[in-house]
Amino acid sequence: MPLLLENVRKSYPTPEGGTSDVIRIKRLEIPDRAQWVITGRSGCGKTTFLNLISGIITPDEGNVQVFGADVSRMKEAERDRYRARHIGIVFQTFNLLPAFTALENVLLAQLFAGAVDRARAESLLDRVGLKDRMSYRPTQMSVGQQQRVAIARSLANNPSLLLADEPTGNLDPTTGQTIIDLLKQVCGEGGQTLLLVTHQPQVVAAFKDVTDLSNLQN
Amino acid sequence: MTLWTIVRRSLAERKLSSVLTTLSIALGVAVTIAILILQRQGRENFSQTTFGYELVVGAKGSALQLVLNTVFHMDRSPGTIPYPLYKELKSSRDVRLAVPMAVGDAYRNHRIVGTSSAFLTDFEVADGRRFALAEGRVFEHSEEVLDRIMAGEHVHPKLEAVIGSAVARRTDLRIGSQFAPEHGIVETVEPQHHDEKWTVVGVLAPTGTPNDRAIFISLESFFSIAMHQEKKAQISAVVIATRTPLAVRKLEQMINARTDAQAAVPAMVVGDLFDTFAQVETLLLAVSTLVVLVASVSILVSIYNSMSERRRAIAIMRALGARRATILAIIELEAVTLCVLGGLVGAAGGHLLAAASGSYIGRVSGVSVSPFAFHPIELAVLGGLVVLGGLVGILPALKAYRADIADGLTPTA
Repeated sequence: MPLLLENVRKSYPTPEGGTSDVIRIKRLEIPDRAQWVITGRSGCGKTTFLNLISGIITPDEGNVQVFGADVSRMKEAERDRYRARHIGIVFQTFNLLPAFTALENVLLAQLFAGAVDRARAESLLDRVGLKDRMSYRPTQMSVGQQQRVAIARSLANNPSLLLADEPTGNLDPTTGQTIIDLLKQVCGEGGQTLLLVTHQPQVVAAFKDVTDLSNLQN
Repeated sequence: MTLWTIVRRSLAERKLSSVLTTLSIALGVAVTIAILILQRQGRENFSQTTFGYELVVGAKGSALQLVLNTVFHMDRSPGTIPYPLYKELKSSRDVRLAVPMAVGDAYRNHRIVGTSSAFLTDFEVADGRRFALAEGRVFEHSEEVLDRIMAGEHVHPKLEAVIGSAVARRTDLRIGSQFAPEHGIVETVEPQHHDEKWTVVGVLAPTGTPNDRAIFISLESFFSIAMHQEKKAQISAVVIATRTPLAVRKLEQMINARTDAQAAVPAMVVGDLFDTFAQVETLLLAVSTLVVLVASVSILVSIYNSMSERRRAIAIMRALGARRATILAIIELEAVTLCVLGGLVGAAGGHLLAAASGSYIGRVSGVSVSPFAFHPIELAVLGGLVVLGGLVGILPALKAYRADIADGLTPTA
């Protein structure tokens, strides 16, 4: 199973001095090549959920397996390496590095995975419709174009799993729809398993497989 | 795309800060390199200038003044010694070669030295090299004529001169030119010229020593002119090459026991002079090192303060899979790059500074300085800057190392 969470719990300290469970999932399985949406109200823990899967944070209890690898048990450097090579992430705020061009932002993702492939990077940018914007910096592009670069970057190392955290949160509805369609297309073509979190109804409506995070919590 | 690309781009994004910190490092390094070059070259070249003879004999007084005047054609002569002393020294079995000298005149700020032709033909000027003529010949000299003039006889020897290479370069004197020496060595508004005129018969090839800026005439011609005739039987100095090294000490002691003369070993006098300068040089080096250290602190502060602005960028790179060690390496490389860049600019600046200073030193003392010669200490300075860069980069690198990805990705505004 590409993605498996078992008895995962993650809590954070509260201002009052106690702790509060943000994630408490007994079991979640996502099949290979699925395009799955996790929905929920703002602040319910969607980003934390994705961070657990990507290995950016580790659970207090339980295990998170991504394509058979237990990222929750890996040492930090291992998790970083695994994330670089096998997991692509698209953020709500794009998170492009402003000092680098579109092409360089994609190449950076490859650099941290250990293998720079300029031809692939150019091909990806071409695929997302930015062939003529490769030498542009993020500040020279529209928000829609920036998110396209982010999508190309997330696919830089041909990951098995692509995580998208509110990818249309900062976009107008029309641009947002274009981005969702692009995500679905490129993941379908590349065979990536797509896990997207959102609270926007119009995005939820574009997918068949939808789960509310609150329904996963126990 | 490499880590080096990230470093370069990061420094370019903070261009003003990067340029200023680099220049401040460069300033300290430039002064350090210039001091080290001039110190080393000055010591070597000033020492080399004394090759060829081991003793200088002159009037009682300051040994430094005697050496500066006789060897480097600087300062005033401390006085005169009797001509018969020269004859006495010349006949000593410890003396291989003795050459008399008389000074007191100049031509357009170039000292005129009355001496025997042996000074230009028999002494080594530096490191086994003898004087060579670029053009012409050495002036005519006769010991017998000199003795007659010193005995009071009126003789009119040929008035011939051999000029140093710097004199030929800086004045209009050529083979066949005639000039009237100016009486005295102090530049005045209205110099007093002698009536007599000398003819240039030879031009020396460059020696890289103070002799390049001197004009040499025969001692007998020096004393044949009217204004110098009252100085008869008194000369400025005698330079001596001994037969054996042991004879240097023996002659020095013997002459210093006299009441009318002193002997100085130029190598020792120059060495003492540089030992005195050494304390000043050490102080200057300490100041320039302090400048470099203060500049390196500015690098630390600049990079450390940038960590807050770069919190998000660091988190993004970590989210893309960059390890903590990679981020640490990037920050360390930034600090080292600034230091090394400052070092390279400073090294170039130091050589230019040495060139400017060396030009002045050459003009004043006649000692040449090679300002662009590589000094091995420069490698040590650059190596030190790499280490310094690594040290100043530690604090900001650790701050970046400890940054939390999730916190860094969370928008703060």
